[in-house]
Amino acid sequence: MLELTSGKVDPATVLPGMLRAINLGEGLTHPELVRGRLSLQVREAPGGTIRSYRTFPGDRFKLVVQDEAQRARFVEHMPTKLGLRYRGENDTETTLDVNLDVFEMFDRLNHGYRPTGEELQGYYLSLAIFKNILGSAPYQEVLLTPSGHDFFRVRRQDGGTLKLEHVGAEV
Amino acid sequence: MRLSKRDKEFRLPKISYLDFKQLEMDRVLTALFARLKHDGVPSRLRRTVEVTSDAFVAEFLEHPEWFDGFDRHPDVLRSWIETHLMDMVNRGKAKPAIAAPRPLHGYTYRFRNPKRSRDYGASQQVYETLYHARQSQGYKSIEQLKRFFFPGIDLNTDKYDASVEIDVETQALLRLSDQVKSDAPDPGPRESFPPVCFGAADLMADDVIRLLVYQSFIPRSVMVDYLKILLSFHLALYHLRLF
Repeated sequence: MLELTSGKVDPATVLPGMLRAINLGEGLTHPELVRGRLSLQVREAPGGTIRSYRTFPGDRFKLVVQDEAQRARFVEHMPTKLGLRYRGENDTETTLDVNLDVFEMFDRLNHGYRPTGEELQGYYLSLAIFKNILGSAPYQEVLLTPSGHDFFRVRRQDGGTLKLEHVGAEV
Repeated sequence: MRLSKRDKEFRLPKISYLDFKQLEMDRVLTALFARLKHDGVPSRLRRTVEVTSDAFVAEFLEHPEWFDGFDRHPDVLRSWIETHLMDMVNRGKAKPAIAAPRPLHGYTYRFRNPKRSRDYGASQQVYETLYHARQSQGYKSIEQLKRFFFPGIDLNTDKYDASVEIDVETQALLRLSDQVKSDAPDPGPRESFPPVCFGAADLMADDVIRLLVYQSFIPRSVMVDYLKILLSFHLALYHLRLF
C-alpha cells in the first residue's frame, strides 16, 4: 500500500488482483473463468441451487491514488487511500475508496479468507454501497452457475425475449 | 407465546387490521400489490389448484418465442426459477413449495398460493395507513408505489410495453403474468378506517416518497428490500406506539 501511494508501484498492476478479490468475495471459486471481469452476485438465496451474477468489463475499471490534501500547499502530506473507479456506459463514474483496511481485506480475500458477519457489517459495507451503485442500471444479462465452473447466460433481447445459452467453463 | 382464540377475538379493525402473527414481508408486499392494483380491495383468485415449479417450467417451455433456448437446459431453468424467481416455503428442505413469485413486479400476486402466502392483515394496514396520510401525501405515495411496482405495463390499458427497460428477472415474471387474466377485485366492501395516529401515517407516506426518489440509482431488487424494511419498521413502530 505504501509503495502504491508513494508512486513506486503502478496501481494498474494491482487492479486485476483487486477485481479477483471482489469476485472471490462474491463466491466465485474460480475467478479466472470470468477473464478479468468483475462479477457481482444478483442475490444470495439461502438453500438455493444456482447462483446468478452480473458481470462488468474489467477495462472499465481503473485504480487511482487519492490524495485529499493535495490542495494544501504549505503542509506536508501524502495520499492515504486508493480509489477503484468504474466508468459506466453513459460516462458516469463511481468510486470505491480503498483505505488500508479495505486493501488488507482484499489481500486476505485473495488468500482464501471469508469475511465474518461483523466484517460484513463494517468496512465491507462500503463495498456493498459500491456494488449497489454499479448495479443500479437495469441489467440485460445474467450469468447462472450451478457449480461455480460451468456457466449459462440469460440475456434479454430486443422486444422482451429471454435467451438462455450454455457458455461453458470460460465466460 | 401463542395467542389463543379468545385473545384474537379482540382484533378490532378500527384500531389495527393486523393479526398478531410473525410476518414475512415478501408475502405482505405480494398482497399489497393486489390492493394497489384494485384501489385498496384485495384480489380474488378464480384458480383453485396450487401453483408448482413444474407449472412454471412447463410455461417457459411452452413459449419458445419468448423464452429461447430454455428447452435445452430444463434443469438450469428449474433451479433458476426456484432460487431467483420464487419466494419458497422450505427452500432446500423436504417438501419445498411456492408461496408466490418474488415481489419484483406488481403482477406477481396473480401467481400466489393463498394458503402459503398469508399477510395476516398487514397489507391492509399498510395500504389504509398510506391512504389516510394528510395533505395528499397518501395519494402521492400510493401512486408512486404503483408506478414503481408496475413497470413495463401501461396501467390504463393493462398491456405489456416492450419499450420500457427492465431487468432479466422482472422480464421473466412479467411474461408469465402477461398471460393470466383471471384476476378480479374481491366483491366485498372495502374496510377502511382512518388510523388512530395520523402523524405516523404522514411520516410513513413521506418516507415512502423520499425513498422512491432513489429508484433510478439503486438496483430494483435492493430497492424492494429497502421498501420491505421501511414498511415493516413503520408497522412495528406504529403498533409499539399504539399499545
